[in-house]
Amino acid sequence: MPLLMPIFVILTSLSIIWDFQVFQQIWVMLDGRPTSDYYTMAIYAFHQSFQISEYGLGAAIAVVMVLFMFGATLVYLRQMLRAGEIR
Amino acid sequence: MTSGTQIAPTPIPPIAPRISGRRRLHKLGWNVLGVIVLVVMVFPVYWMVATAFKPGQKILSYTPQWIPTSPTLSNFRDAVHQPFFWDAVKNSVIVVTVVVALSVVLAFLAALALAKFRFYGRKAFIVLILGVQMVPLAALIIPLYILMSRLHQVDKLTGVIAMYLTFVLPFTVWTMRGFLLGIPKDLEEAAMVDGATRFGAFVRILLPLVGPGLVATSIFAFIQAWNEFIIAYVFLHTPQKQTLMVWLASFTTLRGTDWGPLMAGATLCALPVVVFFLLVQRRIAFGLTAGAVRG
Repeated sequence: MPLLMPIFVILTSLSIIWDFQVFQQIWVMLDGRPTSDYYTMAIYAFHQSFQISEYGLGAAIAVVMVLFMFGATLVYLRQMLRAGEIR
Repeated sequence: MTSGTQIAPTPIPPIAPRISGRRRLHKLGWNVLGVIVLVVMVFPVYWMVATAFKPGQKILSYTPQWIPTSPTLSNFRDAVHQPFFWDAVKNSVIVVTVVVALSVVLAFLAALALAKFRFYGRKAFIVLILGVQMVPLAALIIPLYILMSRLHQVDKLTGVIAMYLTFVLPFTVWTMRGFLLGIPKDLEEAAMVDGATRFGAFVRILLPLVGPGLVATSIFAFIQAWNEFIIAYVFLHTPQKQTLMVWLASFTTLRGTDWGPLMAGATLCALPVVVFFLLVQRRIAFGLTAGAVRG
């Protein structure tokens, strides 16, 4: 278990990052017209920018999303550094 | 050595595996869990293929039909005869071929620099390559769309190719680097001691060794570019220019979804990926460990 810990941390952070940006599944299943109940941040940003042409708002949502993910990314990168992956 | 002269080893009395009933139950429990996980993973794929072979009225029957009893190819015929199918195939093939070719060449050179040379800022570059993969595509797409529309690349395959490189390249560089790190520097040095030039050592020693890595990396790039949806969806408006994934999504319409041909089309789209994966699956298993997590 202690030996596997680094891998768990890496996989968990990756999974958080990946699942946070879910887009395609929701988008395709609801035929590009999801109601706000089904919004993830990715869909919200996409809707704002490409469906009602509020590119500024969409980009702002995207930036907030990236900031949210920054934490998980830091954990991931730190673990990769520790594991000696980045040499 | 023939079998006649072989000295028979003294038989070792088999040690009876003394597994208590409780332990056996425990093991059974884990095996059952494993099978359940497998079924959950495989079932959607099976259902797609099964639905693709079912005739129209049986797809939405209330009692689920687990195995298509009267398999038919009509869904496949419908899918292929849908408008723009061949356009989509052509576009997908063009985009994927160019993306794979460009990204593998560029990634190979970049990874070579990262794996074999020491230079200032190398580590920062590697961190950047890893970090940039964590930025969601849906966030990236807004600024990129605006940029590309200024460059008049919207609704053009060249624009989509350029976009794909933004997310395929970091990934391929990282995987390639993993493969290159697996090749000891001593081999190249030995060749150079024996009189090979740096270039000669590269061509005769490094290139053959890294061949499997190149193949695996290009398959990864292929799968990523082939499956990409959002970018193609945003950038390509005219039906003649859409890729296969966007074409697939066009089955879901306001008037409902035509499930049979959709599933047949999805099966057809998944086929090349599966075939490529099977071709290199052993190397991919290695590539994943080489590229991603080495404990």
